[in-house]
Amino acid sequence: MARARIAWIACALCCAAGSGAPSLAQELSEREFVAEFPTVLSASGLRQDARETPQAITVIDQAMIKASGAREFAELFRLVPGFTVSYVTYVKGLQPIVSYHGLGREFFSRLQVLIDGRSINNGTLGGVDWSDFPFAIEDIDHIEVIRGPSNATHGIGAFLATINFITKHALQERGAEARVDVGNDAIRDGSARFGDGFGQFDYRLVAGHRADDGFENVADGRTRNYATARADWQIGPVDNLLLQVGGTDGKNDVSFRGANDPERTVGLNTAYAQVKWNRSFDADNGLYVQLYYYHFRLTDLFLPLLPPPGGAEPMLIDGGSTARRTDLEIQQNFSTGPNLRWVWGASVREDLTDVPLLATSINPLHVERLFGHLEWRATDSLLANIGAMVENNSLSGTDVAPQVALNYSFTTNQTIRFNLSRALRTPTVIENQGKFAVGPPGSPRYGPAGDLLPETILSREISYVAQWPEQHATLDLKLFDDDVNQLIDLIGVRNDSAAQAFPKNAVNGDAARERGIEGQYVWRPTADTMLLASAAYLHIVSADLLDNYSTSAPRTTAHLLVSHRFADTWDASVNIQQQSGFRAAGYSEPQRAFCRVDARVARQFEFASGEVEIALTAQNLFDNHYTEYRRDDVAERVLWLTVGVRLQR
Amino acid sequence: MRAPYRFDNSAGAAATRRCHLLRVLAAFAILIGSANAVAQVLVVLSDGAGGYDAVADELRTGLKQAREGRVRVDSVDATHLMRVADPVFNAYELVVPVGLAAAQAVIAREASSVMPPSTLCLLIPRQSFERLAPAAANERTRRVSALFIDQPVSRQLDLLRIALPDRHRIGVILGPSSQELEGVLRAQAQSRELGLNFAKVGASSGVYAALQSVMPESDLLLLLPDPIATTAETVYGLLLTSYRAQIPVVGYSEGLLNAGALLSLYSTARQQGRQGAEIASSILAHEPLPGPQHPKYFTVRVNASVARSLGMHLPAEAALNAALEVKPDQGETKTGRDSKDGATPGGMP
Repeated sequence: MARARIAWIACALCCAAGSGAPSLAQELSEREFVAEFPTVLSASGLRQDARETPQAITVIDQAMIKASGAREFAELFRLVPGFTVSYVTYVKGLQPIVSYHGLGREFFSRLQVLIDGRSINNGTLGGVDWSDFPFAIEDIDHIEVIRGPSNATHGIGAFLATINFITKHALQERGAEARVDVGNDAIRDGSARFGDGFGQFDYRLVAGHRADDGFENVADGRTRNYATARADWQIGPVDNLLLQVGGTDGKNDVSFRGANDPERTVGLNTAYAQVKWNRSFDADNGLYVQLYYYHFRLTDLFLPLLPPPGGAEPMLIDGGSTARRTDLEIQQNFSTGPNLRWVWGASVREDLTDVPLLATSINPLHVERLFGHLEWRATDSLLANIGAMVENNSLSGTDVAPQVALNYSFTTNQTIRFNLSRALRTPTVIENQGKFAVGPPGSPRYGPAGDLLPETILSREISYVAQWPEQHATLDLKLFDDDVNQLIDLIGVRNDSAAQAFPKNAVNGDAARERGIEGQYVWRPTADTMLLASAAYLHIVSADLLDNYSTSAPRTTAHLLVSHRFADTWDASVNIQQQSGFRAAGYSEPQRAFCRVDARVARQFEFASGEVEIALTAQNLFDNHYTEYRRDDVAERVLWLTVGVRLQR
Repeated sequence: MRAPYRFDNSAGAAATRRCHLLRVLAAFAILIGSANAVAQVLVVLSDGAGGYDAVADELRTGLKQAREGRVRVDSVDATHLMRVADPVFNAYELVVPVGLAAAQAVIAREASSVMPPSTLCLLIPRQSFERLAPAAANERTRRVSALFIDQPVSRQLDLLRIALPDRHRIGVILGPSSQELEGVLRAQAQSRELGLNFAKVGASSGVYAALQSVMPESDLLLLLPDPIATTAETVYGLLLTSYRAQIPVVGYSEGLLNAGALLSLYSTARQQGRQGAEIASSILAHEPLPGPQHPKYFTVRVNASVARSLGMHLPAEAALNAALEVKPDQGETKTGRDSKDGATPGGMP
């Protein structure tokens, strides 16, 4: 009897402890209901609601990237109202130029471009090396494009617009993937990636190769090898660490027009490392500390075609440059009550630049920045954003960039926004070197180095944002009137003497007033169908004292992207782009109006542990021979086939 | 540190730990139904996660109010339960284990008692309780009952329909434990015209692949409690991946809400304690032991930051709570297995 009772107790205990199959640790208990979990909000890359942002914003997500058929990062910005994408083929070979509201030149475009929060603007001339991204287009999670100045929230250089690439978190895709593109124009791309993790540590490795021949009859072929490693480590309930390293190694064919310039191949190398420590207490309270390093090197050693006068031995010329950036940033966000959210932060940056051709040593550029931003929900329908950045740099001293925005929702789904902001663009170190000049518009005078003032913009924006949640549609219209002052001009550009006259002189010469309207409409009637339409009208008024700013952007642009998924296995999309004629600032020729149609069709095959995708993409389907920065840079139809294999873990 | 065994002296009883005789007499007095007798209740607390004390405090307060002070509530840690002598243990009129470990300890302890007291488990998931006390489903053999910590499936789905009426495709990742809910979910979703996309995982490492497989077909992710599929390790990735795809996540606890779930439906410790006190006082008033039931007091909360970021307009929390509230005239508390599908009456924040 006693033994039977003991056995019963033992059995009950076993049941109690294990309840059969699952062990004690795996038994569902109240622990699952009372557990605390690490907050994900700051790392999730949650997008801001378009109705609540202080500026007009366009989000390019993975579906749009895929439907666009783009193989070039810069091509994605054709989707964004007010943006222009062009190509230039000299100095560093084939270089995409992305600009917003014109004013741009071949080397820089007054945009801030960030990848996961680190600025990749080139430290020498301030442009963006769009071919030198150390990952593939498939590694992008989404892109936020802030259409307007936003120093107060996006920091140094957020002048005409800011582009923020957010790459996929290491958790997002696990397994292995390989993709290959083969097409005309000598397109040969390949990429491979692998993602895995253990415990709270996740990582992804990406490596690839990109190559094409650029424009026909122009020596502007490109090859790039790239690699990136990313790790995301969730250390505890509040702390996580992002670690990234990567780099590119490539070559560009270059053909100069100058009588002295031989056709040659230049080398381009980039490398970066990033550490970001993030503490996230809840949705409104957290902080991060970020340190990154970016290295860019252009290798260009050549013998001039013409022998030096006096029968001397020809000298090897070093046309290369090196830029190294180190940036440390801290940011904290917190709330005081339910209606007040604060962000403040500070950063210090050092840009070290070496340009042998300038024959003078270039002082390092140091930039310190302090910024603060307040979001005040005054009532349920009125949201105020107030912010300012104070920047101090070793070239042009201290300046302030304030911003005020009011978002008023007069119905649940309709918002009107008023934004007034001022922003700065610090001169680049090259602009600031040599016998440079300063002076008001109309009376440029030469002065000593370091006298350049930062460019300034005063932006006035009225926007209307409407959403139709049942139809999954959003409309965004922006009416703007911007004054851009103290534009830094490179003297000598207009009369084609630039190549001979390097180093050029720079001056705060021109001003421009930009007025217009732009809008975008996104409609996703079903999960399988997407329509994206955008259009812009831009009128630039400038005295054009030193450059042709008033024609530096197309007066009108329009864009339509339609995509549909058939039978869960086929994807088809058409992408139509129209723009009026313009002539970019700088060493450019007029570009005539054009209409371009791109199309993509893809089929997926699923199997037990993964998926195969085969896609055919046609860019410029009807072979419209429009021209880019130079008359010889003639667009042609480009076709390529993509095969991708993904194995899931 | 909590004392392993705590006597309730506030009831004015002169008993001490050694006064077994008095206790037996007191128990006897209760058994013969003296209305003025001081009822004795033993609360057994699990070790580990917090919230137990809040439940016990609310239970004690509620019972004292209901019985106008004529109750004595002692408490003991589950790990010390075996040390409570038989006569002492059996003299309690009601034992209230709080949490699964306490319930397991009490049921093991009662197996050695000839005439164990009535038992009301609090803060216990339905399926763990049913595994632990299968006899509770039967009204005749029932000696143990429970107030579940989890919400009925019907209430969770009603919440989705009310809060997110334009989201009809629900992704659910089922672990070994939550797989038991698949049938109920299917049946309840069908009657509400909601589509469900299930992915099953046997180990935590399979959660991301499972999520990738349900995401393309889903416009909402419903998290279910499961010690494999929904853990501190997996939740971060689940939320992060869903939000990067603009898919809102609905949770079942305050912890998930704080971590980033768009909304959560759960009962707080105080709400569990409050309803526990109501059930306990009905037992002490010699009403029949009610069947195991889901909570009637619950809370719906919305994570306003997430809603804003997703650009979603949700009804106010008060409206969501009120809409889910089941009116008292809508039926009796269901008992046993039936109760797992149907909402229990009432519903107050």
